[in-house]
Amino acid sequence: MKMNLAADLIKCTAYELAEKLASGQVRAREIVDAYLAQIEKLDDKLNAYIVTTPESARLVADHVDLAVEKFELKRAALEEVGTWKATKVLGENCSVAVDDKGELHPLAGIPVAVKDVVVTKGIQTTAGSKILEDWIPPYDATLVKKLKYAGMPILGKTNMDEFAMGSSTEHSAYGDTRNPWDFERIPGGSGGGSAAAVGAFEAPLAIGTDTGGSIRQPAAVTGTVGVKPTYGAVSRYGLVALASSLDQAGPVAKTVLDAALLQDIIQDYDPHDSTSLAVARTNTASALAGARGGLEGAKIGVIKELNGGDVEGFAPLVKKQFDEVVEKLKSAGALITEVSLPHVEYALGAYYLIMPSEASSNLAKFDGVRYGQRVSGQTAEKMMCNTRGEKLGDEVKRRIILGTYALSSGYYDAYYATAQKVRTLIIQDFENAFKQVDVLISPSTPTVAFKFGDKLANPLAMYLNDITTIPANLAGIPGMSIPGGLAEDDLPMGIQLLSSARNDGKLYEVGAALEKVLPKLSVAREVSLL
Amino acid sequence: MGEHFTTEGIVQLSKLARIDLCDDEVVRLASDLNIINDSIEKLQELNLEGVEITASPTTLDGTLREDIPATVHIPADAERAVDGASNPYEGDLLEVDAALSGAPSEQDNQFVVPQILGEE
Repeated sequence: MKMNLAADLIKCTAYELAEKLASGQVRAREIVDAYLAQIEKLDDKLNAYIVTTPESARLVADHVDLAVEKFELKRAALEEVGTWKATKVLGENCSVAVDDKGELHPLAGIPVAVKDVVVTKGIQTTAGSKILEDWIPPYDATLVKKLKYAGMPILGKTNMDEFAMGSSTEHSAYGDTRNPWDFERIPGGSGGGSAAAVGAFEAPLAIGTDTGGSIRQPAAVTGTVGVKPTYGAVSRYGLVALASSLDQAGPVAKTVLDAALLQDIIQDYDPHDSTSLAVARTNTASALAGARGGLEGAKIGVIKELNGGDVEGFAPLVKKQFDEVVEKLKSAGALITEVSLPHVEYALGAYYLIMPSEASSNLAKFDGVRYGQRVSGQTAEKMMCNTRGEKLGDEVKRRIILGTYALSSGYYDAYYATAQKVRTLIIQDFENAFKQVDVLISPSTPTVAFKFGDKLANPLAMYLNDITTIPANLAGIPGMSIPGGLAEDDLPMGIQLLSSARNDGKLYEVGAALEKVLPKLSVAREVSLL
Repeated sequence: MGEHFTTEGIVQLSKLARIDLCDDEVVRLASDLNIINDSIEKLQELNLEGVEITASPTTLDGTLREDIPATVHIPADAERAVDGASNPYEGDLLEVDAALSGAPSEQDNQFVVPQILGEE
């Protein structure tokens, strides 16, 4: 076996790493060590991780290597990612899962980073909040179990805005994550840690969660790929809930195909989540088909209200870059039409009623009684008020107070119920749009990454950064952001693709085809490779 | 910009939400929420007569849990099914120690809180 340079390994896509593992060119341990070395070198400055778990990551990799080298297990073919299912675990000396053919998962040994809003048994989970400092969950989220069955070493937990509330990681209780393209700028949020980790080669793949854009917006501003699956496609069991009718976990990756591989691992019907859906895992197959095929005849709609044209807040070069991508789509044979979503201008208002209402209810459990931090008080009620007053951050308090208001007796119909009706209109807008086209397209965000502090003083300015991503959460439809090139200050901008519910495969097909005709980004400017 | 949220209103909401706020926070929250309020009030422009509410965005595949008891232990058998097992609730129940592992204060297998009745 030839020696692999760590720098060469971390530059590979997950798909390429899987091919190298399958052909015996590299050991899982080498891959994990390479990523741990990059984290060691860079993360003091980048701060993508809240905690790293090198020992357990190396142990998982060693078990995978042992399974291949000593027990001579084969790996399932990469095309089988969508159908592979763990049926048993080998013995104690080698606790890897295999399928009913006795084969390892094709991605076994490829490491992954997990956003700190996902509970991990035995590994600290803070959700970016002081109130959960040092909390060690006693169980694994369903999606974490899936990663473990697949034999994927978990490198650590990534930084995020507190309880996933924010667009910059500036609301994390554990410091800002920096943008790999410019350390003076935000990496997006709330999943800035996951996006920065992938963008800075500190992980080949990462898990994010997206309530109003927290996977797609960070992906856009860090030059990575991020996908919010159909609501319900990935189990929410074990996510620290922000807004239960909007939250959805999904992949962050370097390429569309890599994102598809990861989504096929975590996507499954889960009896632990009553909103879970049984959607066929055909994302990898769709991405491969899209990359082989092309854009000829693809019916794509440019969203009139979000195309950057007459809409306030869109940066000129983001708009210019978006228009160029649309031209590229046309030259590649795609059928482009303009499509209107007339109620999308009300999405922000509906979102800022529904999300805080659900958050205020979900976050009531952080009361200093059963787990998490406690600040003392004379009575139980005073203890709760003190704990929440001292340990929750400004943005979390803002949203809880707003949600408490919207749900107050006498206001419920005027606010929460009204927002839920507007939500119906937005869903109908999308249903009408998808009668005309297969996929909708817009810039993923109105601007490139902004500087730290720029939007902290005005919460509305921060919220407006999400106007492009929020509608998909309200409608429950899948959305993807892929790197669309460079815009203002030579920083990455993202192209957002949306498709109808349960049609994630279409996104991967069109996304993989579009990726081929777009310029490939260089290594992020602030990042050097080992 | 309206003055929809007052400091008195914020204090009342903070009591409902069990969040102790200092005076500065109350003033800042009132101001922040008044800025956000315009986007929220915009919804009142729409005629929503006859429009149904949406509580969950997708048509659900199944909301009722199967009637199978959950268990504390996962069988030690190394050959056990791990994904899509016949009992998906195997191992879901926590041992008392695990359930109390994150408690700020516990005694005799119970969570301990300060007195519930009394001042205030």
